[in-house]
Amino acid sequence: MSEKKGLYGIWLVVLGIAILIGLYTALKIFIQGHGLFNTNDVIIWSLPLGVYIFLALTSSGLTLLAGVPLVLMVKKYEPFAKRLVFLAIATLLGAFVAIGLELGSVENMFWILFSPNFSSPIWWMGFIYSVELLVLIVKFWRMHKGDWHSGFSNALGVISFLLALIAPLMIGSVFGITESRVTYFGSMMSVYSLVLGLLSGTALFLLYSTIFHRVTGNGAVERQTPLYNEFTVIFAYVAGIAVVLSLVKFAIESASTVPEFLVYHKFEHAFGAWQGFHFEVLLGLFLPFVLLLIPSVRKSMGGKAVTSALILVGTLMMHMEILLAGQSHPVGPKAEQYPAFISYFPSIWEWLVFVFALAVMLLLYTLGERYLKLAEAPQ
Amino acid sequence: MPRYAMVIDLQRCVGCGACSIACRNENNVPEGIYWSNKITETVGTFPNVRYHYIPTLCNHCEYAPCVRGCPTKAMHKLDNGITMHDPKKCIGCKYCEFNCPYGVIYFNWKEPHQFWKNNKVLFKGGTSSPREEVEKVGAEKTPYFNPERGATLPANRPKGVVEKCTFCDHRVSKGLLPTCVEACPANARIFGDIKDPDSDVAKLLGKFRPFRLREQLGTNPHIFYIRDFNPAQYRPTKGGI
Amino acid sequence: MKNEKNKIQSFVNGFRGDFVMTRRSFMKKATAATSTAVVLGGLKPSLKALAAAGEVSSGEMGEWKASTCQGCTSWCSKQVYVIDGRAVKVRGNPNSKVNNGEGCPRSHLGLQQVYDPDRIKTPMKRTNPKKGRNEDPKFVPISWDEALNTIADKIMELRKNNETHKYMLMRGRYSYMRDVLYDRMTKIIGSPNNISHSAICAEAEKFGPYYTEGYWNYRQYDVTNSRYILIWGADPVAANRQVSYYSSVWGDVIGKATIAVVEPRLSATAAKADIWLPIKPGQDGALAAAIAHVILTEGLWYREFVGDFIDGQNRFVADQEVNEEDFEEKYTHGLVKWWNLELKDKTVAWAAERTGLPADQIQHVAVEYAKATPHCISWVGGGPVMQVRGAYTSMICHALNGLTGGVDNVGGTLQSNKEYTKKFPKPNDYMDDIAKKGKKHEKIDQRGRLEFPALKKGKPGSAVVTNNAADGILNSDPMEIKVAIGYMNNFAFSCGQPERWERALSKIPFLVHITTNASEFSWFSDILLPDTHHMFEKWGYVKSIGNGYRHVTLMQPIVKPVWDYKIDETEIPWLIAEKLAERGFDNLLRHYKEYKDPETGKAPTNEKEFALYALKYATQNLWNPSQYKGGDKFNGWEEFLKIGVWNSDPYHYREHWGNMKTKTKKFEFYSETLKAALEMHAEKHNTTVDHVLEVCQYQARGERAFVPHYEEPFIAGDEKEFQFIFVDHKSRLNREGRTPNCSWYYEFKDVDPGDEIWEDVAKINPLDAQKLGIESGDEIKISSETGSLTCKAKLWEGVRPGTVAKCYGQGHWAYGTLAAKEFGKVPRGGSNNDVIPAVYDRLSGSTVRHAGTRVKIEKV
Repeated sequence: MSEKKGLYGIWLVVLGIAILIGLYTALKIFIQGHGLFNTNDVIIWSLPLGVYIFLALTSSGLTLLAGVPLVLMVKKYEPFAKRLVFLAIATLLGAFVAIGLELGSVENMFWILFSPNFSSPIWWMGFIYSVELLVLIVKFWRMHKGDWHSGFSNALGVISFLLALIAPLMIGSVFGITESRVTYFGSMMSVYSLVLGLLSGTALFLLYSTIFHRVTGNGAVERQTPLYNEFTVIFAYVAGIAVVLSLVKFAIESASTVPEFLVYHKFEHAFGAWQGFHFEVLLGLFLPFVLLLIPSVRKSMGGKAVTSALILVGTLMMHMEILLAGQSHPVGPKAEQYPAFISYFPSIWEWLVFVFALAVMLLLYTLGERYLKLAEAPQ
Repeated sequence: MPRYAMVIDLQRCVGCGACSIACRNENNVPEGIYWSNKITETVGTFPNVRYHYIPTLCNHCEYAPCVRGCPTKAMHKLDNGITMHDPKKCIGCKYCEFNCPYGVIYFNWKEPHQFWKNNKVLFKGGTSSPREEVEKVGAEKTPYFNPERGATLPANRPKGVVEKCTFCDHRVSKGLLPTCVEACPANARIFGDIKDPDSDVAKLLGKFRPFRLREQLGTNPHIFYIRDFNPAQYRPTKGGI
Repeated sequence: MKNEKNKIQSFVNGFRGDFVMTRRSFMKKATAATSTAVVLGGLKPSLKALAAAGEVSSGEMGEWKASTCQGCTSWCSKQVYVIDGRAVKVRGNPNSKVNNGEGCPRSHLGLQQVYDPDRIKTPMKRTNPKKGRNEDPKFVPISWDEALNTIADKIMELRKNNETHKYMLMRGRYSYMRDVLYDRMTKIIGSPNNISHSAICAEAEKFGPYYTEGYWNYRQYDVTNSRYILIWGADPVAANRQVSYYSSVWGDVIGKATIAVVEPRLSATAAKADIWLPIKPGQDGALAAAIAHVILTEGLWYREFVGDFIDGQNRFVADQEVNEEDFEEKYTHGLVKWWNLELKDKTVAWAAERTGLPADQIQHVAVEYAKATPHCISWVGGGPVMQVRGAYTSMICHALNGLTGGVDNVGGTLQSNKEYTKKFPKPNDYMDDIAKKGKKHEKIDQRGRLEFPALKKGKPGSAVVTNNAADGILNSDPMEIKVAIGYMNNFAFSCGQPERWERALSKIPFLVHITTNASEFSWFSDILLPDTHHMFEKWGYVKSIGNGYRHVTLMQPIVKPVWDYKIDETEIPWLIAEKLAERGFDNLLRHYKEYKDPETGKAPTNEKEFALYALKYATQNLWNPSQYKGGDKFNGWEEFLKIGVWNSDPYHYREHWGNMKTKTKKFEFYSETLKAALEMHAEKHNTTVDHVLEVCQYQARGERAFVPHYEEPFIAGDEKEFQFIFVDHKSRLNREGRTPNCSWYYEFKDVDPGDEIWEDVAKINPLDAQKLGIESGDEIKISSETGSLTCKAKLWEGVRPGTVAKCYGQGHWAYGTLAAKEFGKVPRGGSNNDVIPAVYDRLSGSTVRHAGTRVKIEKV
């Protein structure tokens, strides 16, 4: 037990250091500007934005899962509900850290309230996630107080569920309405975002749970194994949808004669694409999907951990791939000052933004797990 | 209220870039950012080769994707059709830059005009440092700083916000032509109110069949191109088998 | 790969070509969207009012002040926008009829020059006595007083020792105040050695016009009235001269005239031309000869100027001699001689073989060009003539203007309009015996020697051979140079084979450089004097022609000087004169005191008064209404200063017909003028004209020497080892090689077709590059027999295979922190002159910069 305590202490120290580094990074970015990133006027959005998208969508995925017991009233999942809501909150806060450090002038954020632009998907995205955060926190507070199914509490659950459905569509449409970048254009991006959000949310929950039970040695796991197995089936279904969507996407990309899609053949960088193959999709989606089709893998703790970890990393990389592929060639006259294709690898500061966001998220998980009785369920 | 537009006569354009350099000067545009720019192309194979030049700038679209997407209305339309940016409201999300189909919006990745903050001196006592020069001249950020730009926009934009061509709104409001128009030695740029049928732009648009950049996107750009950079004559031919 | 390239190309095309929506549908939409606004009726600004912008407007914080730009030798009249004594913007002066209020890209870079932190802000002296490329001069700041005392002491030492001829003045960028320093001071001190930069500029360009129509100057071209413009290695919308004027009318010109550009690389002008003739470097004379041949055999010459066969029957048949008596000339001289001596066998097929151009294209160009007579132009630029043997190419290309009657004619080539500036007082009375004796020595550039005829205006030994002065100094031949002053020149960068200058300058015991920046020349100097910038800080004037006018445009100090600069051509010589007077030699100061203020009759008492009075003195006929002689009229100095430019009367066409300044007063196809000059030179050296030509590396012998003719190019380097001919060209952003310390230069460098921003590239045809295994962006070394440079490779279709084209300007190893990669040590990019050998067109004295050398290219 004392050994565990020691490890816990080390874990907190590690997170503390990561957060200190993150604060330093924030200060540095605030003073020196985003020239610290390996971005330019062609690759405009980079790793911090990719991390934001990934975490925000994951948070939505978690909220949607929480909706199963809380909105759809599938009682047997109630033991997961509080943890799911809390993870959604913590993950969303991580996302906010990433986006906060991505914005050039975060101090002007209040204009989102005072000068709203209702035709902007970014505005809607910001608005919805802000409200979502608020609603989730209130819902969590109600649950923590034991109020799981009052009218108010139920309403909060429904609202958060609906927001979690819309938010990914908004993130998708941030890209989907950029007529000028055909690789993004259309409603596909919204659907894709929703599916990937559900996928990474499920993966995160599964991975988290397996690690949590492993670390704490909490006996609850034995009782809940059938539930986790069911979850894993949902997981496999979502992965299946993502596989189908990805195949459709590949088919369109490789058949298209639109020059912008050329980058998918030409572009190579550190996010999984290599030699024209999308390894992040092959290893981060197709492989775990195939593994999940094997019942023994699905049922073993190790299988759950490996597949969910693969998918979690894979989704982040897929977000990065999509994000970068649409920006890798200069638009219009920018081709005069930049080469025809630009590759990207994050700078140390961008990695640190990622670390900061993760550290905030993990610290919240850790503290929440310790102090907020996340396994609670209504009697 | 007028609706400003620009006609660029490619036949008159000599591709000299005076527009872009004068723009940099007028608007205190920092290094790496091009409010006024160009698209060039070398076509053909030796000896049948030509080089083409299309001047570009913000298209001041009627249906501007940058304006549509901006979450805080920092990017907005003025009544006279100018697509304007207010850096005070800009949160630096760069969505406008991401959204612009014409590649005319740039982000201030760092504090602009960094060269002029430098304290390095080539010959001690014999030359000055960039910072010393700016201070001695009594200017802001660059020695040739144009304070008039500050009338409608911070004369030097801070880091963390985007910037782009404003059709020299600070000049237009004073009855002066945009700097690129005035500085064009070839008279290739014609500026005016497209709604006024007697304006030169309206007359030219009635005379030629203009093209605009990426017209199919439906943004309704208000930079119109007429004629061709190289209107070369050639001997008539029916080709051959 | 190919397919991918096509796809990228189609993306670029798509970007501009997407005009799916028709204009009609657009207009409908626009009207619908804005109709409410129309009904509500806002302000309706008058565009006419907008167009008049330029007058001081209520909202403007500063004031537009007149000045002059000398970024190139267009010498446009400018206005500078000044706020609180600070220059903020530059534009064309609308009062000039030459540049018509238009500007150009390079003029704006003047702002980055005047406020360049690397400008020398105070005099400096060298503290490392050792001189050389690898010797840091260790400059330290000194006072003006100390600097001037040292200079005066050195000059007095020469005077004391009776060796004033060992004093030398080197001139670079000048205004017409030049004679104060360049001529008067040198003469009164007592030296023959005032050496200008002219021969590295374009003297050969003046040679052809002089020995055909008796006009030693650059021409103006009546482009708006022209129907065919044949351009030889000139790039009027990008580089010298009257870039602003030609840019302003070019869109109309290309609509009205056919434009053919002869140049091995696709220039900015060629990009907009009807016909690009990418000729093999050095073969321009062959093309011109064939065009002349076609014009004559097809009977297309302009009879009202040239005359005709007495019986009207054309006897110009290929390979057949013509009887001189059969042809009656009007305003020309020696047409039949020219035919018999040169043209009769210069067929299109013959030219096609040499020029690398298709025969039918040559034929077509010749016929179409001649059909436009007399409203056609043969425009001789520096390209084909700043070559070994370029003098004759200059003649034969320009001679076409005689055949077509385009010379001095509507839509043709024009001479200068009359202007009325006044020369400074004569120095003769102030030249003492030492000075007179010193002045008689031979000049350091060895002009006039057998191998340097330098035949300016028909006088042997009258043209400067700038680049040879380095050898004169190195060999102490004809004399040792002990004290030298250079101003606004940078021969250690701007001359071919500059390594000779590095050694020559190192050898001069006392060298002064008047300069804005510590340049390569400064590196070898003992004293640096901080110069004013001509456009913002100097009193002076220049004259220039274009658009059928001549203007005299003023430069004046219009900004608060940031540091302690002094004017090169007036203030500094005055201050030296004062110091010399203190040392007992007051001739120069007394002479300068003769430059009295024409308004008050007051003699100058200090350098500032002197600078102003000298300018007022020289321009008094322009602004003093009582001395009015023509052109614009002013009511006095103040008004002239405010307007800043005087315009001549308009051009009178055909005034020179029959009254040219040649021996025969006619346009000479057989140049009696050249014959006299060459014979005079031969006589001086007790030899024959043939021997002169042999020594000077020309091929012509006998009578052919006196007619415009083709000479084979003389290009250094063995063809096997050095496979490429080096093609030098100029940049739109060059202010005479002085802008590479300006960031805007690099940020907009790609306005030169084929060039890249922030890079110095050599443009190679992709076919050649493939053979060499070179790709765009590769670091390459270009070497000739005399030197090498390194730069980036750029594959570009606009270059003739077998040649490599590179823009002049970069490759500074000094000049400033941005210009050099490492100041004093490593150049940024490569300097073209490092591969160009010091060779000459000896008849004009010009330094060669085109078709001068072959080079090899290696990947680094």
